[in-house]
Amino acid sequence: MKPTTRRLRVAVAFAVLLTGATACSTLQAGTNNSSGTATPKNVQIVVDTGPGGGSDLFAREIVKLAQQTKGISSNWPVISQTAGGGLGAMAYMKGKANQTNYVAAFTSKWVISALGTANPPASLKDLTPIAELADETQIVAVPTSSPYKNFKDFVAGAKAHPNQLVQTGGAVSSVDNLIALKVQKDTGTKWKYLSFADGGPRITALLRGDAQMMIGAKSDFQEQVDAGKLRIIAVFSDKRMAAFPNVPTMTEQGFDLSALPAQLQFRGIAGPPGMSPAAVGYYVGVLQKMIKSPGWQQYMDSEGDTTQFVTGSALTALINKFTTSMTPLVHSLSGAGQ
Amino acid sequence: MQRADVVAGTAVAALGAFALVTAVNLAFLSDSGVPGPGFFPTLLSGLLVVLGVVLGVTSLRKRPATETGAEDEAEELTAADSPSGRSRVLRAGAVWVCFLLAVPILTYLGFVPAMAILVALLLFGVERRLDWRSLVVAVVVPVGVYELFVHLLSIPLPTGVIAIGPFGS
Amino acid sequence: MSALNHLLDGLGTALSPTNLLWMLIGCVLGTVVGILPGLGSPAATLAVLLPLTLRLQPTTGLIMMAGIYHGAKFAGSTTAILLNIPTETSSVVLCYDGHELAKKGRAGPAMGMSAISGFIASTVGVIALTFTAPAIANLAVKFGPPEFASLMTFGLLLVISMAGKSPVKGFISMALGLLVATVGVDLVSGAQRYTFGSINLYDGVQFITLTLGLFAVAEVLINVEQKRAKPLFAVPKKLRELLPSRQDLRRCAGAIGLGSVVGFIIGALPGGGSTIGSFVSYTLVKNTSRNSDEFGKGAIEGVAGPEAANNSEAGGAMIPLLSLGLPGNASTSVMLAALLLYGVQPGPLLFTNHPEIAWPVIASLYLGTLVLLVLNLPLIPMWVQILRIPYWILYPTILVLAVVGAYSARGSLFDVWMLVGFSLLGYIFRKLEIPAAPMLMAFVLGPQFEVALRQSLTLSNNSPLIFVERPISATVLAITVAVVAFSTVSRHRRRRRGAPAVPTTPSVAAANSSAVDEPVK
Repeated sequence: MKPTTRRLRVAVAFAVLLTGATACSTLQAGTNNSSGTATPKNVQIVVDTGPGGGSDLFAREIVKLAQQTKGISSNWPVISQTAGGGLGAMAYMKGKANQTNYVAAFTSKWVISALGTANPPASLKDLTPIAELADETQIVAVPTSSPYKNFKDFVAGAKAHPNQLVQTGGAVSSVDNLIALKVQKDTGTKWKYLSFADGGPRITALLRGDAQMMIGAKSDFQEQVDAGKLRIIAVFSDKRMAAFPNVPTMTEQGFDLSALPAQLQFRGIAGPPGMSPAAVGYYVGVLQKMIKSPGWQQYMDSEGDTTQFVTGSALTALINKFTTSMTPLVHSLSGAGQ
Repeated sequence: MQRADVVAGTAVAALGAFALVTAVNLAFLSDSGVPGPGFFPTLLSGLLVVLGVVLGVTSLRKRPATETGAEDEAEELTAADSPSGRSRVLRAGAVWVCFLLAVPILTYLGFVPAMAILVALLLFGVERRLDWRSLVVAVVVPVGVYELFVHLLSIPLPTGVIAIGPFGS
Repeated sequence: MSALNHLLDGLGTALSPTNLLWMLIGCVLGTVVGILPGLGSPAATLAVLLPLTLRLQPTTGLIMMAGIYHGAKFAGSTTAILLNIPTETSSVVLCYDGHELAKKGRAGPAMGMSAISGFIASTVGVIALTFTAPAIANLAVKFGPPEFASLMTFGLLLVISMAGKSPVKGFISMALGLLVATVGVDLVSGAQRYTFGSINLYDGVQFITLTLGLFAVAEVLINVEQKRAKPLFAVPKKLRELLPSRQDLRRCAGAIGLGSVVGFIIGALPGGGSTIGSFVSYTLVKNTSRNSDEFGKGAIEGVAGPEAANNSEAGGAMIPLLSLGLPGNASTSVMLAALLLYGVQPGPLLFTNHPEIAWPVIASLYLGTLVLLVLNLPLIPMWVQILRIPYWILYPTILVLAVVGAYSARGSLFDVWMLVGFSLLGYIFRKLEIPAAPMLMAFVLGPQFEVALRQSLTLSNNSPLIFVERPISATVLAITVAVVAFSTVSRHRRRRRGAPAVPTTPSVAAANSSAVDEPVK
């Protein structure tokens, strides 16, 4: 009888505490969700790579610079959603519809990931693009000891030794492989693609001689180029790069890039579906302030990126054009891969 | 024979067979003839079928008499019908079911309420410790862990579908 | 001896009061954060604390990160030994002997040995880093897919040699681990494997989810079978019994030496890392030990060897980072991130362009383990107190932390469901006496083995000869065959004699370690 009352009291106390907590929760639920506020609080930035990965670093750099330029006062925590090369991050953002305190650092890879999946859980079109910030020019590197002085030499080598030369890179669906496939198709050549999950082993594969060529960004190669171990032989653009003024572009070397999008590896910031124009305006303001800082220019230079500040309908058009021109390449891949 | 091992062998073989059927859609060799995406899954699920059959058949042949004292844990399982063995499994099972129930609660109510319910279920229901100390543990552990992760380390924890309160942001 | 001068200069910088203070804070933070599941891997800990370190001077920030790195590593071994929860991949092997020792009431000595062997190994690692960096960097470059495939074969050998009483059950566990590891989008072909169309499985199964389910929660389920008002196991009260004895140290000397060398070399390979280092070190130590029968039942060498490898790896991992600008593993890639955010580009030119950063960081790696040793030996008695907490408080807390760990790895509730599933599997494994560790190890090694094998065959146009044609790969395979032959012969001889243990000459261990050493020269 005594123990029973004691038990009852404990149980009642627990129930009261729990209801109290839940009631409190539901009371406050409304305030944070309303999307009208001009300055979103507790902003979190979603990326598709783990700590130390490309997008993770990019997001952290943006947060650092935005704090320095007084665009934001608090730190934005970075959330990793690494599943499926952006698919996970996009699905995560899709689930945060109308919550203005979530933004994602997207890359052009997200478009390809959605194209290469039969029923993608989300695509970039579901989200609200806020701004494109940068484009990473793709360049071609070979070991210094390589006989190939330019990309024409390499293609000639591939003609002489069909299916013998090796290009190294990441997943088969990555942009560097897709544009290489396009060149192979155009020139009637074929070479192998060696996938590594991490960047380090790709460079050592080149240095070791297991691979003969790699398409990547300036930041992938700069140190090795300075140390005299790698050489840049082509730029995937119609303009030469400031960092490598003597390296001819693919167009100069006689390759037709008109079927490829002008920007191959772009990065930007997107919000969840249905983000209000007011909130989009807030983020555009913060980013606009940030890209004018000397720190941003320095970062762009060290990465070999060019600033591309595109917003609004121009950004939507850019994404649509990229999607259209990449679709046939991705589809040719999934046909051959299976 | 050891009934548990026969069942386990059958289950492993069945799992292997399922994995093998699923792996059929994946290319065993790629276009260039090197092992493709299906190479490892096919070999491994095949191996599982073989291992499951081997485990099942060898345990069928084994006589209980040949069992030595070293394997008393396994003996206990075969004797799961005995009252002590059954009550042990029931206790572990009860804890597991509480753990399982906590996940949907977590989805709907968020971290702190769900974990408080989990700890309360374990201490009041399974452990039958209906005193104030249990109540303190059921409140302090979830709230403490929440504060540590969310506010000190800024690592988000599930907020639940409806709850975005003091323990939601 | 300019390298030595630089190192001493670096030590001088690292020893400034400010730097020392931040290193101390780093070690404590790393230990505290590392002990929580889900944050146990040094990489995640570093990433979480990155914003904090970026507010400091570059040298101070990196020194603090070195402190965090070591603290988190030590904490990972602590949870593995005390609670059978390996919070990072390189602590998995500690569940064999470390937790067995804890069950025998020797948790203190196991943790002490982990700290001491870590300290000695990291001394070896830093000295080797100072003097052999160019040679090792050269080896790191030569280590390609075929070499990795051969090394993985060696790693998987451990799994087989650990199969235990019933080889069939050990193999089942291993095959399941390898199969679970194939879940997700295949890197080489882009094909989806066993994802059943669910986005949650595109990236496969998380290590931490599998570990927490198979080990932590399954252990809880086994322990709650009996109602326990009391703590889990007895904890000795005397301080002397809480630290390793002289005899323990003498027993472990060889294991520490072997582990240090193996860990350093494997740590230096891009994509190598401490996990493979600790696995390979355990295999070598076990198969060359005169007490090999005690392994898996609480042999203290089984803690010392892998822990040595786990810590000398830090020195090795710095080589590709500092000399090539290539991160060798997840933790160094966070360090690389920090360097980049400070505006320092690591690479072949770092030592010439930024010696004021490179050398203090190397020095602080070393000081980090020293601080850890000084800090942790006195704290071991305190950590062991965890085992004194009444189990009815401890186990709900473990379950709550397991949920946090599974969820926070990638913010997915699906992973919490998987945790619940794996915990049931782990419990069934325990009831059926199927060892869970082979599954976890195969899960870790499997993807690297598969990718390396397919890459090698792509390179060789499908000719398996590539594995013996390349000298380093052939050497690794030869060592593998030698170790298998040696352990088979000694086991056979033991069985014929009917004696429990066969004393083996220490020269065998030496021969093996020098064989690993060989490609360096």
